[in-house]
Amino acid sequence: MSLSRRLLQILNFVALIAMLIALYMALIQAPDAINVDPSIRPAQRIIYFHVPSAWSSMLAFFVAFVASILYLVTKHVRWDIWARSAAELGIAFTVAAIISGSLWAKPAWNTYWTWDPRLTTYTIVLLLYIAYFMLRGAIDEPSRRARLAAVYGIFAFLSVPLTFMSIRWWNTIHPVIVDAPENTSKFGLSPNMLTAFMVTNAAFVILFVTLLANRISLGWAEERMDALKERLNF
Amino acid sequence: MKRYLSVVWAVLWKDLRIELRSKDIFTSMAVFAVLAVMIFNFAFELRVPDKTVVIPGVLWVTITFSGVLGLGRAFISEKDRGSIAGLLLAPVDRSAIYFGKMLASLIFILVVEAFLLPLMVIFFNTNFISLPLILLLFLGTLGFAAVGTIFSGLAVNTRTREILLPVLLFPVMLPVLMAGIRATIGFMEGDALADMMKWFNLIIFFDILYIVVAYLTFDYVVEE
Amino acid sequence: MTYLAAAYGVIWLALFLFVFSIFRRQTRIDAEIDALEDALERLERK
Repeated sequence: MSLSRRLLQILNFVALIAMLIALYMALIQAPDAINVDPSIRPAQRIIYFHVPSAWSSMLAFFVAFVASILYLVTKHVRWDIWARSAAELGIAFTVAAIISGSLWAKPAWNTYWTWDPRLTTYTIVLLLYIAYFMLRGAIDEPSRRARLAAVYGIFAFLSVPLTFMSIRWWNTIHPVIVDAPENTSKFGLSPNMLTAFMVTNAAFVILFVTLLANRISLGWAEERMDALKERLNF
Repeated sequence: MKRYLSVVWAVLWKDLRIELRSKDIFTSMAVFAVLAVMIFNFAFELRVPDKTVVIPGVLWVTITFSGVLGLGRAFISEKDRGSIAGLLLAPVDRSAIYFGKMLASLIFILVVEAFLLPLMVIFFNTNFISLPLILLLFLGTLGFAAVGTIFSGLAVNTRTREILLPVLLFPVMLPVLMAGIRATIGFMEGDALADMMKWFNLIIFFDILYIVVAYLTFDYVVEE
Repeated sequence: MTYLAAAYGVIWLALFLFVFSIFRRQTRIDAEIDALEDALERLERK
């Protein structure tokens, strides 16, 4: 217990340092984007945090999906804790990504919101996981809650890849940042910017792992509390 | 395999017979669908220059909303009378129960659609029915019933029951709904069928995905 | 510039709120576990 707590503290510290480096890279080290209008060049730096937030949310939902499957296969409470922890984390990252994207949309597209497929499907993903927690909240018995939530967690994830692919399949105004060589003219990143972009992404992965580890440790505490309450007939 | 199909058929036939006697679900779905079309008509009448613009949206939204009304009842009678345990005792794979229920829901919604389409042709004074559109509606409804049936089984186990079903179901249905509406808009505007293949492919892909995942997970939904 | 500040503010705020919610729940649950364990101990001594 104390070893894992100590490891958690080290992880927390590493994540903090990584995020500070990311902040430095995004705000100071990265050059101005010369291919956008000078008035919105500062705002362009939003992408260094917006994109990693979105990716972290996808990663979180993927972890929740895998944990849901593992729960149904093994029925081990660990995977229920993992699933709900990752889903919660995914919601936090999704909110961060949607709002920061909205604040980049205003200077770039002159509107906070547009009914673009990428934005719409991503918002639906947020609603999916809110529904996931509503389902959890509406079931009292822990094992049944875990089981049914796992089924929903699997279904919920089925449309997440669609969100990811939507900018490639539909004609949308949302730019494709990665793996689109023909698109570099407008939003592509120069080599220096790419370095900063990669560093912030790495920092967010570390942050993601750290937050997930913390949330999972909280999940175990929740389980322990419930078990104690059970024993006391609380 | 033969025994499996006979269980599917038995569950389907049981639900259909209950419905044929009481007509509870069909009546409320159909009346709701008519009401929805009426309300949409009021909402758009004076504002929209061309009614064909709103038909795809009205069509799919009406089907989804009235469909969820019927789906909410899929497991209620079994749950309330406790007969689900009896069903589960059948010496056959439990997914057979799922497929029976799913086909029953599918038929209910399709019957409502068969009733709704001519009605909309009259109300909107536009004949938009075509064979590809019917195929599209069938494929969309198939995915809707596939997910709706299993989620109905989820929702019936919760404190809030049917209230939760739309909240669970609509976001998951979005890919199918979105593709269905886009393709219907294409039909309205007379686009070539080849251009709409991607929407058909998307719906078929999700139909298969939903049915396979539901087949794999249904056991866990009814497990007590 | 304002948008940049606002966006970074929002992301940090979202993450901070998440961390804070974990922290608060952890504190509450730890306290509750302690209380429950105390109660259990007393019960067992009786």
